[in-house]
Amino acid sequence: MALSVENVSLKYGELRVLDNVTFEVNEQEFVCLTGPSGCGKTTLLKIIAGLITPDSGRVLLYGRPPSVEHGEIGFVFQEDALFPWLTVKKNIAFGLEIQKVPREEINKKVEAYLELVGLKSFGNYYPQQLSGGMRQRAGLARALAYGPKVLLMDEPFSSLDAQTRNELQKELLRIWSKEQKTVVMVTHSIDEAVFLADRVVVLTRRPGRLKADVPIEMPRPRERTEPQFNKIRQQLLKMIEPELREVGGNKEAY
Amino acid sequence: MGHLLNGAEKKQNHHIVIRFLSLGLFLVAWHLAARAGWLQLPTPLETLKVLIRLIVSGDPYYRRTVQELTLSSLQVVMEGALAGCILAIPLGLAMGWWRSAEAALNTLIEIFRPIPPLAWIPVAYLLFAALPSPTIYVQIFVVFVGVFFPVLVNTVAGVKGVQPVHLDAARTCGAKPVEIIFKVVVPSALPLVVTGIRVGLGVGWMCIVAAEFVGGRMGIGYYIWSAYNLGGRNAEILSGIVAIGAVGYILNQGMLWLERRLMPWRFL
Ligand SMILES: Nc1ncnc2c1ncn2[C@@H]1O[C@H](COP(=O)(O)OP(=O)(O)OP(=O)(O)O)[C@@H](O)[C@H]1O
Ligand SMILES: [Mg+2]
Repeated sequence: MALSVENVSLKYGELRVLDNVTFEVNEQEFVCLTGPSGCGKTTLLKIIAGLITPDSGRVLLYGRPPSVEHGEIGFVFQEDALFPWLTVKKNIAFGLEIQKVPREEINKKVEAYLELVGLKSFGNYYPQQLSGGMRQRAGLARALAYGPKVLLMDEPFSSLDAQTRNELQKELLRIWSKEQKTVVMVTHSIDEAVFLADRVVVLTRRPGRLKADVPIEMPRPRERTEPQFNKIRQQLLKMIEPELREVGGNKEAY
Repeated sequence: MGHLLNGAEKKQNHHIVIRFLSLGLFLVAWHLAARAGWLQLPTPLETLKVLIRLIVSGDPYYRRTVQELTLSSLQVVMEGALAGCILAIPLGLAMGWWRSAEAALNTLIEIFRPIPPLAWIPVAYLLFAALPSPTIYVQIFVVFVGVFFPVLVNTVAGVKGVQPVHLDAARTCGAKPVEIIFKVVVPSALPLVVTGIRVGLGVGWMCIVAAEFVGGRMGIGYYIWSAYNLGGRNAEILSGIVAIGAVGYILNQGMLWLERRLMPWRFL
């Protein structure tokens, strides 16, 4: 088991955010995590990364509690998290420098990951000179470069237009199969989850509990036009709709 | 304080004619007003003549050129500013980072901050009375006070403005607290720290000129004040004013240049 989340609960003051969440992720599995806005998805990812300690329950990464200091986790954040004072290259090198990797190796890896995410000729650009999609690519490269075993992604494509988003989803699958990472990705888009994931984990509205854990048994590459794709999408939507109705939340987002 | 331009504003780099248009109009107005007798002052050209003489051969009464007088003031400013930065930047980093440090020091600082630096002149003379030449220490101290607070306040604001997501990003890469401070907090805060230094140097420059009115026999402030007391040396006074303005302008432009060098990402 690559990752197990065991009975994790967390409160922010009086606000109960996560309630007894349990699920597991296998080695090299691609899991999408979804649920209504504010149900604690970002919080859960941060707990998995070891950035926040849960009030109760625990997270095990290959049988041990996660420790941020070892660079075992790559994190792609919901908002723009590149360091604006560093060029793309230096952003990607950041984790490697922290891990005290020798200079030549850093340079080699930076080039390799620039290439991997398709930013080869943009290494010397500053983040604000990049488009939104390019910034997410650079963020992905930074998260992968120091060789984490698990990649956590928090709505990495939510701010992108549909076209760029579809393109990056394909790229992500290519990178995922090449790099052989275990991935947990938060998304609000059922369409995205069905396109990408081996399994979809659904949380209830706050306090987030486990609502469903649904395997997507459909061979890749998946086509959105296939009837099977739509069938799975409909099933998942039916499962999630009651959660949204309860919040009075917006279905549109899905 | 610490307001930073962004977006299109900072990209405007107007033609040199437009940028110096206001200066030209000012000189014309000054000239006309002095000619018409509305101002009891020499005209710009008369001032310029005296200024050139002061630059080339110096003032016979003082046996100094105007640049020697100005540089002597500037040196005091640099010493005071250096002391101010050495104390204010680490203190500001600590106060911005640890709430407890801020809580512990804030009341004290907020009481001292509104006191005009010049108000410290008599206190400083009392403090340094036992030293062989107290004036120089008084002047450095006054500049120090003038530089200290802008740098401190801006550094604290800079540290508080660090994006939490940048801290999290560094942590997930495995950064330890010291690395986070030097690789994330310092570069995040740098723009405001430098702005604080720029503002502080401006304040320090004002302080030194005024402090030189009160004591000592050196510096551009001493020069214009004693030239006034001698009487009949209006062009010398105005030349001194021009030198003060020019140095202030150069200080500010130098800091702006330094900002571009240190933080290229802010000027793309
Ligand atoms: N640092 C914090 N302090 C206090 N409350 C917080 C903090 N971070 C998040 N919360 C609260 O916890 C709840 C869950 O937040 P979280 O960001 O995990 O939700 P989310 O599922 O990621 O939402 P979204 O889909 O909108 O990104 C929210 O109600 C939020 O207001
Ligand atoms: Mg979130």
